[in-house]
Amino acid sequence: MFTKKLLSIVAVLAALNSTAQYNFSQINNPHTHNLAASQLPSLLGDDMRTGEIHFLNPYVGFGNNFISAYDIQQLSQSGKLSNEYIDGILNKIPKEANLWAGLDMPIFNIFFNVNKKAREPFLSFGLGMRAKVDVNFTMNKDLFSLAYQGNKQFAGETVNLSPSMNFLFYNEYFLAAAGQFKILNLGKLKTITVKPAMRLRMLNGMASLSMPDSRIDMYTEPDGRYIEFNTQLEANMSSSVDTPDVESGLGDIDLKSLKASGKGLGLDLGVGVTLFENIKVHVGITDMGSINFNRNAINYTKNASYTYDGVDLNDPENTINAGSLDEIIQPDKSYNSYRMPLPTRFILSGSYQLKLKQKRKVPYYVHNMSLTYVQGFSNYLSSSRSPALNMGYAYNFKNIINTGANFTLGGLNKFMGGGHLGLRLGVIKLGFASNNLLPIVSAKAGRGTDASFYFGIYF
Amino acid sequence: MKKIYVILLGFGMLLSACSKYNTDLNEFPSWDSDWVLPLVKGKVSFENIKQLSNAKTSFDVPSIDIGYASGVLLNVPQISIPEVGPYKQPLSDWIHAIEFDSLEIDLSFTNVFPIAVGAGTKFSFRRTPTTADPTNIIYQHTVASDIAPGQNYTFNVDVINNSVSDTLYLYLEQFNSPGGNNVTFTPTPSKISIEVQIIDIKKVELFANKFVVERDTIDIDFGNEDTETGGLDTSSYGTVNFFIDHALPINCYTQIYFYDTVSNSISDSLLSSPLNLVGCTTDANGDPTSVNSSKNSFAISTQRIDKIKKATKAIIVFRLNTQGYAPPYVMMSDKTYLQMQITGDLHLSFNLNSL
Repeated sequence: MFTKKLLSIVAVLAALNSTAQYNFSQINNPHTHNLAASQLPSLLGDDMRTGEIHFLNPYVGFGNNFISAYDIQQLSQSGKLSNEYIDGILNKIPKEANLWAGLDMPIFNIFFNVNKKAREPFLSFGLGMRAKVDVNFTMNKDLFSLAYQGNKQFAGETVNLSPSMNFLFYNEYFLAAAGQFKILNLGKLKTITVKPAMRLRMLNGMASLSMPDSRIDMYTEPDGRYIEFNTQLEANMSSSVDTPDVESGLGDIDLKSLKASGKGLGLDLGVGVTLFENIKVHVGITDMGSINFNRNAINYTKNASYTYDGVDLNDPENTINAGSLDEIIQPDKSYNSYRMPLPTRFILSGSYQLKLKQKRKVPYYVHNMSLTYVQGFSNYLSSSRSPALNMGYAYNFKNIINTGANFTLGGLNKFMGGGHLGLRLGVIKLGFASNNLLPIVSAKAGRGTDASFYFGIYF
Repeated sequence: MKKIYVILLGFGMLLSACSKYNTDLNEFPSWDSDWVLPLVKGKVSFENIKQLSNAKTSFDVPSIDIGYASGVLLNVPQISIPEVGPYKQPLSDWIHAIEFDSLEIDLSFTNVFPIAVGAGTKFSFRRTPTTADPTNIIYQHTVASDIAPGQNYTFNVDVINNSVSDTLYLYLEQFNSPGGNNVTFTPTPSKISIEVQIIDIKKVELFANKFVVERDTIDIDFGNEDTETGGLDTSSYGTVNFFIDHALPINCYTQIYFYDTVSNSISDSLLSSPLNLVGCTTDANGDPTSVNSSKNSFAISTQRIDKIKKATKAIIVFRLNTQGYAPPYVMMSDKTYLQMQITGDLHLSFNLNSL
């Protein structure tokens, strides 16, 4: 019974995919471009006459890159855990298995345009606050391989067995600005416009767990004469309340003392180029910056080595040199501040739009096609080293209903397909989206999903 | 509020998925894994070879040695004898001479004389059979109070930084007694028992062409008290490697037996035939000038592992000799050793269904 429940929970976690770390549907849906400016700054000011106010627009996602819903379903249907099944899973696990979960919650956002004469867009601004939670857990494939296949495969090699975990919860106050500049005017429909944009963010760190160093290197001498372990571990943690450490529990937390435990600055930069009115290219680098946690900070470090070369018959009281073993396990504790970087990413996005129309003095295109490339620099929080390429299409019906689909290749997942539905009802904008709905129809595509919802007032 | 929203969302997703992926596993695979592991290690030096480094002897001290015949009723006056003895204790028939850092002496004296042995009597250990040479004293112990008739007197001492030839000479010096009236010495002698253990050598001169068999029993525990296989499949197999660095100037033949205390029998031997280890050569200081390294591998099966796991003792047998070395002596310093390590190259197969 326990096994059944456990596997069921694993199945769910597996079905929630970490490629959803990036909310592509927000870029594909023109109605949400102001919100999407947090991911691609030069989208600020799009699809807006004068201003927008958004309240509580949550985006949540979970995921992993090492097991899918299909894998779990196969196990469930066969009723047996076979060597072939485990071998297949092991073959599919990447060198660095990654589990991610996150919440992005814009709490109160205001966006407004300052237009030139004839409502020609000129400057766009945004300000507001947002809460963000990110956690990722990475495990080395070698650890699974060691447990399942033994250490002979690693004879003569050094392998890292350490898992790593990073967690970051912060609130931000942001100020965003973008300006549109025509650099070439070839006629009414033939202009080139450049839109540089930036978002400056003041960050209040609420809690974090940072593991900048996480190595437990194991070396197996080819003849098995000794096994050497070298640890290089650093774990920093901080929270708004007294940070619970490995020796304490959660019972003494005083919520009255809730106060940011870290301060930092973040910066998102981007530039958009509009060619011939309906071709747009955006480039952005987001989540630059860091948070310095200096309140309730606890640091654990350990740099040690241990060599096991057999039970020592000469020392019956200490046959495995338990002193050295203890030395490698017990971390050193300190209380120093530490800096936790944001998960920086590079984004390149292009769109091609057809059939220009206008409603209530707001121009819009009926057909919107986009192509977005996202590249992280490490498997850290919501950033992933695996690049993702998203293709999306959105159909805009009288600028009242905007619906579309998008597909993603690469990333932590190999393939995703999702959609969105947005409504503009008078002054109200609302909608929901998911970047992966395929698990509903096929478990093979069941690497996961995410979900987002938006609600705003448009004027 | 934010937390509640997240918790409810996550819980709902979990519930829905649990009903979709309803898994009931009823069969598990075998767990096959290959390991190369160090198992046990040990180091043998001169001090560990009891046959060479440990000597026990008992001496009889008859009444005639202090000048009185047995079986006669006597009045013994207060007496004082400059020396009684010597009583010779050969260290080992292998040893010609030894320089040591530490030597432990345990002495037990049972006074069966009808008179007390007086305070001030000295037990003297000398390296030559004379009390006239003040430089040949290895250790001298003075009795602090009278040893009454019938009393057992013991002491233990570590002697450091000294030397001895192949024989220790024990004297009772400045032997004195308050005497006694109407006493009769019995034919039973007083007894001195001595155990000498060389704790730490500097240098030893061994006689060439010596031969001995050393046997040592140690407790072992594989952590599997019920001696079940723990799901270990019969398809498990492997190779046991025996690595030896031999830097003792002694030829060795080695075997390890596993002893099952339940059946009171030797259940297996580690090696199919004893290892034949040729001793190293040493220089004039006794330091090894070469180390003879060897590796021997032996196949092992699940059945054999099971048999060994049931054993609670290991009997280590060494056959030692200095045959082939140029007589008369083989030099051996504290830098000589014999280092052993056993490693396993094992394919382990566990049947998880039987766990």
